[in-house]
Amino acid sequence: MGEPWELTLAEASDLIRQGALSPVDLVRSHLDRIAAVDPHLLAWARTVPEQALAEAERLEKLLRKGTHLGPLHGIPVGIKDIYYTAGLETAGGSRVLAGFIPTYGATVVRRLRAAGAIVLGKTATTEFAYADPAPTRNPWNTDHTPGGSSSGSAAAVAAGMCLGAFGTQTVGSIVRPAAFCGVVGLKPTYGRVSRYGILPLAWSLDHPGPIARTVRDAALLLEAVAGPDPNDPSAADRSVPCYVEKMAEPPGGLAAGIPDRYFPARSSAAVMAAFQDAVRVLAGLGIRVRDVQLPACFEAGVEAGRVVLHAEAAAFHRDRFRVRRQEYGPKLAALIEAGLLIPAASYLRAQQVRSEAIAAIRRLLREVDVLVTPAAPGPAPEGLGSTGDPVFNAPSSTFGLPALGVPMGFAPPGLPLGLQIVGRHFDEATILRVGTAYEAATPWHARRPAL
Amino acid sequence: MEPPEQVRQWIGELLGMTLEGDSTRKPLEAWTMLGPALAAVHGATVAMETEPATVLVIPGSNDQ
Repeated sequence: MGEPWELTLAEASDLIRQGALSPVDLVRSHLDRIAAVDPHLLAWARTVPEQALAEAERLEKLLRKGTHLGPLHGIPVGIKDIYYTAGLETAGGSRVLAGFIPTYGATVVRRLRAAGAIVLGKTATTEFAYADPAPTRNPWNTDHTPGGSSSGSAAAVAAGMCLGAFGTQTVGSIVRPAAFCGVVGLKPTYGRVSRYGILPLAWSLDHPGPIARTVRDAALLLEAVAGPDPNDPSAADRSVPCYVEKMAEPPGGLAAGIPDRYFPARSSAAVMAAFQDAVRVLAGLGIRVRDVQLPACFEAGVEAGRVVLHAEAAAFHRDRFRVRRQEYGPKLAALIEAGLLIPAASYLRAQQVRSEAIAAIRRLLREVDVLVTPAAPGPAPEGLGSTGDPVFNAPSSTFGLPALGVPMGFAPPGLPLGLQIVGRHFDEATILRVGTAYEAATPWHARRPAL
Repeated sequence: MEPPEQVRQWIGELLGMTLEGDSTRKPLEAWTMLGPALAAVHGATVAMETEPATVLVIPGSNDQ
């Protein structure tokens, strides 16, 4: 075994369960890793080393007494700095919330802690999860963005600074940064995971979800936090399957659809070449891959999501924005100003168009089990002024469909690319099945940035 | 996507209602950000007029 920080979450979990790895040693290894590489990457808004070590010691004592909380017992994680953490600053990447210390934690955080996970700190986010960038750099090339808005979570996982992290996606903020950083991003179905205690960007578009090094790791994280929540009426009243068991089933016989438009025209040549290789791998796994026609209202549905995003973000920020306008970043300010101009009738029409598009895409997903697309139009752009284009992720966010991003190869000059697998509502098991098999058949997930 | 002229005119009038500041700048920025999306939404709505019973669903509700 190399350094503990080099393990996957599942590997570390097995070693802890067997008594072969101490949670204290695991946390120390990650804290040392953070000290070594984070000055170059700026993935963390703040870390809590003393608290993390104290928690690791507590969890180690539990193990000595014969108590094992589950697969996340002793696992170090990062939490995007829009999730409330009780007693720990939650600034949302903003000046307006600098110094804000919540008195309670988000449901996701409480469930992670109850499962034995150890919070190492808060990962960097764009301002209020929109587009004004965090200072975080891409571990594969620090002249490039790691993507966003879950910038710090993706960079921290890719650089080995934690074994998993949580982010959110409103348009493209889990799957895109995961693709740019060469790791796995899982955006569950809307309502699969409680949004309670998470600063909203847009209430009907926000999806909390994990970022991890492997599909199995992401599934373990999702299992720990998914499920109904009396504090969040939009959290679906559905039981949570054992994803790790279900995703082990080989995917042969599943049908995967490649959309006939929207994605190919926007993809770079390197992305298309890697995607075509990925499709060949999927076909080799026994998956029946075919072209599918997107519904006629698809693009209108995606545009409707843009209207909804503007209006809901404006509604959340309205009161604070009126009195503290100068403390907002320019991109978020422009979003809010535009959103405040949307008439209620337009917002409601947008939700109707969105509903029509959702019904149409559900009909399509009766013909195939999943849709497969590139995760982004290209690799991570150069520069830190933009987090890249979420255009390929907007549909799954707008329609509430689960989406899994897995490493798909590399584009010159050595920047990761991602494959996106989109499934039916609440069918995370199938996208995890496809992702697991694809990951096992390809070498991409095992590569690490040279830091 | 070029919006229908009627929709463009309507949106231009709407965006003329600025909050404060430079009234020539804000409508242009807001139009650039939102105009095509609003046009797409209202264009689609015209087609939906034959389906008046369209139900509004917030994704993730227990209706799914």
